[in-house]
Amino acid sequence: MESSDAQTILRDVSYCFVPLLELVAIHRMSSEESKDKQPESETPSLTPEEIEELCSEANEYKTQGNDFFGRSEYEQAINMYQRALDVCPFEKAKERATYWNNLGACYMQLGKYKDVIDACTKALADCPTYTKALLRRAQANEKIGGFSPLSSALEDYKMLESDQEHQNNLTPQLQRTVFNSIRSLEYRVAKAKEKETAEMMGKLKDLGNTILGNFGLSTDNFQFVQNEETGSYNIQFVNNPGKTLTIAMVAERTSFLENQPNREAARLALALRETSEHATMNYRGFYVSAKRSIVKEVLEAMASGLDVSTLFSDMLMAASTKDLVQKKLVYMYISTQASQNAELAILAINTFQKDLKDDNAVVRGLALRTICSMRLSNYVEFMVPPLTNGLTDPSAYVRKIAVLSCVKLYHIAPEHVADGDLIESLYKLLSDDDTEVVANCISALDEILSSQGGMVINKGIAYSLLHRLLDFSEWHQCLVLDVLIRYKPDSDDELFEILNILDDRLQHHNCGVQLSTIKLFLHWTADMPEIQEDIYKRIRDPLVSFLSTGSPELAYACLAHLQLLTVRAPKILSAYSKHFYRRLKDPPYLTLKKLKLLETIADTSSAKEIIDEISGYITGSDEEITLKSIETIANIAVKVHDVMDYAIELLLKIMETEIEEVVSGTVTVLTTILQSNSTITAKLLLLIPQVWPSISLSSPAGPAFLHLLAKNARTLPETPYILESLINTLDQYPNPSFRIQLLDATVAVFLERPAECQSMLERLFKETMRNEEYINVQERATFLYTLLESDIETVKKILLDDDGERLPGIIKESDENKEALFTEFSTLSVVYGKTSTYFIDKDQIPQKNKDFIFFVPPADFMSDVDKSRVDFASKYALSATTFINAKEFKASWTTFKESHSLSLPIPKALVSSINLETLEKTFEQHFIFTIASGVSNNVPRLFVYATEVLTTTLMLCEIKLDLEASKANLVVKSNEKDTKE
Amino acid sequence: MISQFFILSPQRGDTLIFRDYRYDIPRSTPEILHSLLNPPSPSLSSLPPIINRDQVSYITLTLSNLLFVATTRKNVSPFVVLEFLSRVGGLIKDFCGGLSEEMVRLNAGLVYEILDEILDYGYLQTTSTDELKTRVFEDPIQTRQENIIQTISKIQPTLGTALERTLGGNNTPSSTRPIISTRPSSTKKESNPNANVGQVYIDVIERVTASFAANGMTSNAEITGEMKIKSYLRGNPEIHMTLSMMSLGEKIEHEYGSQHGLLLNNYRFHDSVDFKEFESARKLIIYPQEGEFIAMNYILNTDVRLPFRIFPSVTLLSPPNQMHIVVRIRCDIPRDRFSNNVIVTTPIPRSTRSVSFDLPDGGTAEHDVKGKKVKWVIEKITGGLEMSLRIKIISTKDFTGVNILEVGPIR
Repeated sequence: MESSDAQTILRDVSYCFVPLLELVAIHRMSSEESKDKQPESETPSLTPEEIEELCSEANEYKTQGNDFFGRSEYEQAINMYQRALDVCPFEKAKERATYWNNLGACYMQLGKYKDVIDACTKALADCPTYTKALLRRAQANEKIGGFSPLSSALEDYKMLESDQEHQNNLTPQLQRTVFNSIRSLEYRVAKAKEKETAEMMGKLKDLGNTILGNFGLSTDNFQFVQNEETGSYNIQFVNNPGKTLTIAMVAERTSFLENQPNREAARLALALRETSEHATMNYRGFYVSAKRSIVKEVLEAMASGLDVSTLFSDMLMAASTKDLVQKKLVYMYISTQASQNAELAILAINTFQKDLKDDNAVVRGLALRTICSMRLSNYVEFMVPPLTNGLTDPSAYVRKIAVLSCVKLYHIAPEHVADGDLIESLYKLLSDDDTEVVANCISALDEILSSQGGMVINKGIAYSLLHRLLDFSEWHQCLVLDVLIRYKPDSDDELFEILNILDDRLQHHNCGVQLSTIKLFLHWTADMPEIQEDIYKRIRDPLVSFLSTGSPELAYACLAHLQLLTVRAPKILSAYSKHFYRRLKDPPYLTLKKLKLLETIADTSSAKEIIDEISGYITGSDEEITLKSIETIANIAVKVHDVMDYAIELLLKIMETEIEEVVSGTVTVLTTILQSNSTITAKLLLLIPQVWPSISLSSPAGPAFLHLLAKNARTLPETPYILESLINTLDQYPNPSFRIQLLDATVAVFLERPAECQSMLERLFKETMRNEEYINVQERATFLYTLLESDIETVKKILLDDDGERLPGIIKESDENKEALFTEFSTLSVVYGKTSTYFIDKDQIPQKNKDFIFFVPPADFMSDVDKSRVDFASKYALSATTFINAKEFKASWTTFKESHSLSLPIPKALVSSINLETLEKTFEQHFIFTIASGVSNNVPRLFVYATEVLTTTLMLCEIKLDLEASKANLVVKSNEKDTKE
Repeated sequence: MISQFFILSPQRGDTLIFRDYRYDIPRSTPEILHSLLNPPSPSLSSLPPIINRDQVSYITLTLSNLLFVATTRKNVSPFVVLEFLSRVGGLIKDFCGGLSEEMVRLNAGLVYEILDEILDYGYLQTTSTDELKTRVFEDPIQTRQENIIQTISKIQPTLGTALERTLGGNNTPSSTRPIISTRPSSTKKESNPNANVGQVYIDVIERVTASFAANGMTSNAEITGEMKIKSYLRGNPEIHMTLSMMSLGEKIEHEYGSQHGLLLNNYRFHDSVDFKEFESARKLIIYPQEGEFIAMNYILNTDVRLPFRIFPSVTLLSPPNQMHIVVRIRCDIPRDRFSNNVIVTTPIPRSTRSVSFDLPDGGTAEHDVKGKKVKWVIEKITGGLEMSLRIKIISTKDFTGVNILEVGPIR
């Protein structure tokens, strides 16, 4: 359609609106004009006797009506009152007014508000000063809602307020109601007016759209403009299609969006006020209030972050209801919003106090919980009495809420709790019949007393908790187990007794319970290394099985804990590597964690298999996993020397895939390995010419690659050509640090092969000097150039000798930190790999027991033999990953030459306590592994082996314990000629 | 101790439910978490489920595509919180009849009511459906798609005949495959006076993880199974269940085998299960609580007989840019049974340009260009049968030996 045509039509259409607007005006007038007129009927004159007679008859009907009303039989009552009115002569205006008023009361009960208004109006016609009728009419109008009824109600209320006679008739309470109603009505009338107008306009627009739609236009092109003085509306057509129109519409849209939250809040407020508090019974026998859905909307708005604090007073009104769900929702609102409406919150206290005396325990509990959740220190006086009552409430539900409310109170007003009475009653409640109450007591005491190290656990408390443990719910079992850590069993017998009681908790279906039990076991047996080993084995299975049965998130937490376990017991998982292979649906974070664990547990027996497995991950689609896999393979190779060659072969092979991130990652790690093992350099160099274009030079692989080139310039014939092509495409590598490295590398290669490199070095210098963008690069270039001119030897020294410090190394984590983590087993610390001081506010950390030492040095039952081993181990670090089988041991034993044989004394006192098993375990902690042990000819014998990390020397040792002579005879053999003493 | 609990819709970042218990953490946590989950520039690091930012720990659990989050400032046990979050998911399922974004939105009031009862000031109170039922009054609203479960008058003891399985497998040294089989096991009901007013669903779900060596031999296999019970019975009657050889096939033997296997005692029972007679008579007495719970978990990893075997072979063809992959699958279950909806996924090299299939034994195959894989769907495979898929791949580049590494793992 041509634009000129469109304009014409638009103009035509705008004319169509004139009649429509008139229509609106008429409608508004008619709705305001809703005052009903009372038709006066002619009355035949009656004698006074007759009047009296009829009057008493009417009075009788009225009495009957009142009876019906009293029995809530409103239909019957209406019938009676109507008869009374029929009989009652017009002369008795006062009586008639009463009947009308009573009739109104009936209609009110039935919810027929229109009829109420009629009846009351008639009553007022008979007796204009009839306060009750006036009040009732106002209330009915208020119930009906909408603009005109509300304004009538407002008028009536105002009349009630201003007229002294009415005021005298009203009770003080009613006077207050009237006063409040006027305030709220003023607001509601305004809103109702706005709303009705908006609706009207909306209808008008819809109508317009049906006409305009045919022309491809919309009434959005027209704007309703309110005239500030008259309040009337005009429709303006934005008669300028194109830019202006669009801008106008955009402006309108934005302001609409800004106002949206406020409007939403206002709409909800309105809805709350207008919906009646009429509760009906649902099929389950619960009350359902009509307001419930609106209250729900308010909470949804709150959840989505809308500011609903303005609705506070309206929500408060909705709290006194028979509908429990609504009550709960409103209370939830109150507890959230009270702090922002501190002065209004006082209004809620009344409702709370009523509810606190309710027969229903749920209501009592709810009120108590909410009143203490308000976080308003001014209202503490209202909290303490119900709280103290709540602690002795007959219902366990209320008691358990009261207990936790003490904590809330403690945070609002510590002085009320700290004075001791409450704490004493909490300690008393530890022996409550209901386990939930007990559990909450523990939580509450722990938090309130956290500055003093938490709740006191004495033998009595510990035992009463232990005996009732099975009665506690799964969550509370965790809680109880966690606080029991503070209890120290008096003797080993006692300890084992408790451990036996708790043993079946390790098989509980809730992993929280399992882990809490494990934590307790670990803690209590901390100073018994011989048991700890068993416990590690005991806890390994549940943890491993969570990997396959639990959710990925749970598996993640498990892996973190297993990782920690390997610090203490390095060999515990060596046979379990298959469990940590990637599963089909593992999310990336889980795979990464598994890779890390696999790296830790790889030993000579499993390394090759693990590397094979990990190599399968490399070609996957996740880049991070690819890089991490390559890194893990390299780390395993460094750790377990046997598989070094195999791993490097494999890495070289995967470079041939020419996938960018694979090649980059591989080059990076290979360069690192090359530092420690230079035999395979040649192999790597052979591949370089083929794969270097796939190396992503902006990644860490860039420097590694250049370094590799510079170091091997002599052996790799292609080096100059690779550098040349890099220099030719220098523009693609704007990274200054890369350019500096390129400069260094080129100069280094130039020193080795001046003939081939001279021209390109010149070019590179020129290029970098000219480019003033990177001052660092320029400086480096100048520096190198000057040096080359003067002192070639120095350049050589600088460039070729500063090996590897820039290269990304393989970082070994310190295990010290991890030891500390054992004290925080089964907490977030383990997952983060940091102790809680790193991620929790200082003031939040409960003070720890000072005598709380977790990892104690070897206990005194160890013989001197062991101690000498310990020294030995610390001097010459032993490898944790050695593994040889019995056959190999036998073969080595016969071939290796005997290097030492010595006999060490064992203190007499310890002779009796030595047994082979404990010795084995102690040895294993120091990475000395036992291959065989036993008693032959009444002499306990052990065959042990160990590998030195530095020299990879394998040492074998036979230990014979001569108990009678209190001596240990050692024969040490090794595969190296001079073994350390 | 949990400070806040909220449910996020991970895609749009809407907070469906937000409940603050302790008010010691700013209200903005859902937004912070959402921005962490969807960083403006895609970075390398994938976000783990438990993170700490500004001294606040976020513990997240994904359930039915919804993110359940608990935040705390304390050093809590991740296991307890994760277990709790999954329990909340279960409760919503129990009370609302399902767990989905729409469900949560519609039943927000109900969810808040539940949340109000299970935590007080961040301390766990109870997650027992029975107990909550006495204090939660809101009625659930069903979504339109949801079928309200029809009440049937009697529990029909059914013997598992139909077998539904999803399969995966693998060639090159490593891989995993899940098999989910659901079959109703026979239930015997005693001492239940209200037999015709309730119903019980028992699902046994097994997941098989296996890796095959290149020659089709099993190198590692493990079955993890769980018995889920969903009970609508009134008055908590006892259920006696005997796991007989008949109903569970050879599986039960494996279960006993597991005790002598690598993982000892790898079955766990729910608290409501009395398993005193399990060792001797394979009899369980269950006191079901209302709602869904896992009555038993088990793992077996010795002598697992796999329902499927996969034999892959890869050949490079004479034009060096072509490759031939043959995947054969054999169904090792009794001849009178069959598996439905078997899916075999084969990853293919990144440089693949075109793919053609040959399906001599039926099924449908599909080339997923973006995911670089071929998906082969077999609707029905009868026990004892063998089927095969031939894939011919033409690549943009010449194949060398190493590209074979890119093929696999087959799932």
